[in-house]
Amino acid sequence: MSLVKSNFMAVVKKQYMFKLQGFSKFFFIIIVTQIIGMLFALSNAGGMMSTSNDIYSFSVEQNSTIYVFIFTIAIVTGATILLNLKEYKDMDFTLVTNRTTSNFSNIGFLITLSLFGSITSALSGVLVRTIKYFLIGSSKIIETGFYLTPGEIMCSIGANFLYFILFSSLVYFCTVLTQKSNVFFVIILIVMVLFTQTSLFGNIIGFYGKENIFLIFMIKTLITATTFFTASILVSNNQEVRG
Amino acid sequence: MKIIQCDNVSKAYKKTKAVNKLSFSIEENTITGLIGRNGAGKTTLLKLLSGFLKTTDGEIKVFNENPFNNLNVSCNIIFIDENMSFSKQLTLDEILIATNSFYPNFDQTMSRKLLEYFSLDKNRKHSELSKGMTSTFNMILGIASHCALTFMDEPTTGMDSAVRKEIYKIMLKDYIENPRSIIISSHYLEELEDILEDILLLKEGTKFLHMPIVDLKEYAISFRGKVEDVNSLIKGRKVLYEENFGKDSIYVVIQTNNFQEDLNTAKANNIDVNSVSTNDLCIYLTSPKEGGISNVFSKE
Repeated sequence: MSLVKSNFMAVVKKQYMFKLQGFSKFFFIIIVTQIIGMLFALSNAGGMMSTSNDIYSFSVEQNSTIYVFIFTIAIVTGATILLNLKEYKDMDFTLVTNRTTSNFSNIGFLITLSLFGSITSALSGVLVRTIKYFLIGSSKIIETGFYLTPGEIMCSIGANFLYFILFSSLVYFCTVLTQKSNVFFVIILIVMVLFTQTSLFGNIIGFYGKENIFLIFMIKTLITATTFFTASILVSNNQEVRG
Repeated sequence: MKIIQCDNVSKAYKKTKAVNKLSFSIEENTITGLIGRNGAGKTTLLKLLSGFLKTTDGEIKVFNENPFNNLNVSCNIIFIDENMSFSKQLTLDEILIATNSFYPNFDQTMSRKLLEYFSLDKNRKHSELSKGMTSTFNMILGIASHCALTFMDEPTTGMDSAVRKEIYKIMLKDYIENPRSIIISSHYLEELEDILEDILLLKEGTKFLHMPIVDLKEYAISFRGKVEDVNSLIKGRKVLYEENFGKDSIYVVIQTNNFQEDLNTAKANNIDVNSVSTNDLCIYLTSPKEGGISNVFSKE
C-alpha cells in the first residue's frame, strides 16, 4: 500500500472544520449567555444615576452591555480551557494529527469563536438600544453615544475581538502550562494573587485598556496574543498524549 | 520492506519499565498479533509506535521515520482502542464523513454497509453507544480507513463472541483485498489466530518470541500418561508446563524442535500426545512463576 504524503495546512483545515462541527455548541452557548446579558442591560443592571431636589427629580440610565462582554469572555475562556483538557486533546489524536496541527486548529477555532462573540456582542448592543428606544421613547434619550454609526459598530467588533483573543491566548498558555505540570497551576495562582496586589496589574490593564489609538491597540494585542500562542505551541510540542 | 524497526526501545514510567530494551522489526503487509499478559507492555508499545509517547531509550522507526509527533506517520496510521474519543455532538455518520476527509483511502461505502450490517444507527451519537457497539464502530473505522499501518489495542472489548468472530472475518476479507500491515493486541488469541500471520509475544516489557503463527503451532507438544513414563521421555527437555492428575498421572508441555519425531516417540511409548493450542502455549510461556497455579495450592 503506497504511503500518503502529509500536508500540514490541509490537516489543520480538516481539524478546524471537524472542531467547528464538533464544538458548535459553544456558538449556541454564546448566543444564550448574550441574551441573558441583554436582559441584564434592559433591567438597568448596567447602572443608574439619579438625583432630585424640591423642583426636579431625574434619573439617568446608563446604556451598558458590559454583562454581554463579560459573559462572552467567560465562554471563550471556558472553550479555551476545555480544548486543552485531556479528553478534548485526545479527540485530535483519534485521527490524523501532530501537536502543532492540533494547536493551530485550536487557535483557528478560538479566533472564529472570538470573532463570532465580538460580532454578536456588538450587535446585541444595537439590539438593546433599539429595544430601549421603543420602551422609553426617543424624547427621553440622551443622544450622545446612543446612536451608533456603522464605523463605531465595526470599531466595537474589532475591540471586542481583540480583547477576547488576547484573553484567550493568555488562558491558552496557562492551560498548556498546567497540562505540562501541576506545579505551574500553583505558580500561576501565586502570580495572579501577586499581580492583583501590586500596581503592575493596573499598569498592564492600562497598557491595553487606556490606548486611544485603535491601530496601536490592535498591534499591542495581536503581538501579545501571537506571543502567548507561539509559546503554547513550543511548550506543548514535546508533550505525550493519550497516555 | 520493514515498516517498523525497534532497536533497544525502553519506556519507563517513574521507576516502572513498561517496555524494556525491546528490539524487533515488522515487514509490510502482515497481520501481527501482539500477545502478552496484563502489564506486559502491549498498549505502551502500540502508543510508542503511534507516536503518542516518547521513548525513554532506544530508537523506533515507522516508515523509516521517528513516529513521535510526526505528521507523515500519523497520516498513514490509525490507532483503534476503546478510548477513541469524539465530540459528544457528532453522530456516527458525521464521524464517518470526517474520517473519510482525513484518510484518503477510507472506504465510505464499506463503512456504511458495515454500520448497517451490525445494526448501528448512523444517526446515533458515538457517546450513546454501548461498550460493545463502541468497539464495533471503532473497528469499522479501523478496517475502512485502509491505512498502511493499523494498530488495534484490545479492539473487541465488550463485543459478544458472535460479533467478534464476524468482525475478524470481515477484517481478513478486507485485508486480502487491500493488503496492509495490521498489529492487533488481544486477550482472545483463540479467536484471532486464524487471521494472524505472525505473533509477537511480550513478557514483562521485553520480547519473548516473534515468529510466524504456523511455527508457534509446532513450538510445543503435550504428553499425558504415567508419571514415570512421561518423565523418562522428557528427560533433559525444557518443560513449559506440568500438571498432575491423580497420584500417578501427569500432563506435561515441552518445547519441541522436531514435532513429528516427538509425536512418533510418544506414540511408540503409549503416551497420549497432543499439539498445544497457541492460546494455552502463550499462557504457559508468559506464566509469571514456574509451576503455574498448582504451586499456589502446593502444601510444600
